[in-house]
Amino acid sequence: MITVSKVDSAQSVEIVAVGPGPTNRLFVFTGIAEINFAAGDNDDLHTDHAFLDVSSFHGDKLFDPNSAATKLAAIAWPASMHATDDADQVTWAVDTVAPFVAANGRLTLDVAVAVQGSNGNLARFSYEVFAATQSVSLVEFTVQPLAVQLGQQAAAFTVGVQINQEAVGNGGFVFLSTDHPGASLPNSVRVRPGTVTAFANGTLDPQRFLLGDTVVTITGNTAVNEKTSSIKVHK
Amino acid sequence: MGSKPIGATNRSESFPNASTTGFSIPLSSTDPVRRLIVLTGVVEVFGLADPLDNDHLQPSTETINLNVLHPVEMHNPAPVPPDRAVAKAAVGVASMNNDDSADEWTFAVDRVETRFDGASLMLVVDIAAQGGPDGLVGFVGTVIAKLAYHVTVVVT
Repeated sequence: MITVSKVDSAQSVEIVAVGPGPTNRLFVFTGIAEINFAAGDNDDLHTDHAFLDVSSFHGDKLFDPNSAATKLAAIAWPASMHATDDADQVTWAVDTVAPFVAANGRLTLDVAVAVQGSNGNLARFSYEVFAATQSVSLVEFTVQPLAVQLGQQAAAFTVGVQINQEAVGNGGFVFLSTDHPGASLPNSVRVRPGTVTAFANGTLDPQRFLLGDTVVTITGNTAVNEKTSSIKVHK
Repeated sequence: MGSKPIGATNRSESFPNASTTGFSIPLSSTDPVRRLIVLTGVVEVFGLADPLDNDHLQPSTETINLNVLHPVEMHNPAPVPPDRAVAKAAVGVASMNNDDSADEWTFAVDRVETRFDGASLMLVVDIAAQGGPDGLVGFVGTVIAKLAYHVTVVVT
């Protein structure tokens, strides 16, 4: 498995869709992904899968993993290839392209690649990903309490989210994250269909905090926007 | 050395090993036919029937039936009417191969267009290839094994 760690010329377009139907955003993501898939010192045909975390290279946009809410289409093709005259036969290939949204909301591209030819490589592939989604806008994001006196026991906090319209289908997802390893919380909270608010519970682990004051930032994301809130932790 | 027909046209209604994705977005609350359709895929090149054992540049025209590859998007909620559809396409070489028996190599997509053949939307691609192993059958389909395409259709 190849994990793409670099993308050049990453570009994004966000189009507001006004309906009818629940789709309210169309995103187009393009770029050139670096994989440096080497053929080695032989002429065997080498195959592998390259996984591109599209979200991480395009503004950390997260999507509802429900396929009824997020519709995807994608394409990829070889962009940069290399061969040497050591090879008797060469191949560079993108054989299949499969976009999906992971459980944590990250838009991901699974690209089956192949390369052949002694000391050659398939260095990069180009991609286009289209995502039509019914993502909701996060209008309010709160954390309670705002300040915590931390002792020997773990302390609880609650995250509240409010979206701009009643959730449809299987609900609306708001993805949650924190900048501090001592704070734990679920990676998403689901707003039930027909409602606009939802809550999630998190905990603060006293073993992971230093003495004194620490500000913990909690972030809520949808494909459309993000908001943050913070807790002042005193130990 | 053999000879090849120049500008051979290849067309198929079946696409083994095709990797396709697509979706549509409705554009009207009163007319369900109106929609934006995005179609993408990686599809095998059909190749030519004759053996090739030369280094001549070989053009070929591939005609790909998108209604077969994308039946859901092209037929639901209603078939795309040719007189109300505008389609734009881009195509690249997705899979290519060659060997050192060739003196020269070429992998090319020269021209892309879409057109309706009856009710079916066709992707028409001019490709060219050069090289290939000695005595190879299905020259273009091996040197250029697969094409990647993206087609956007707006039904007004």
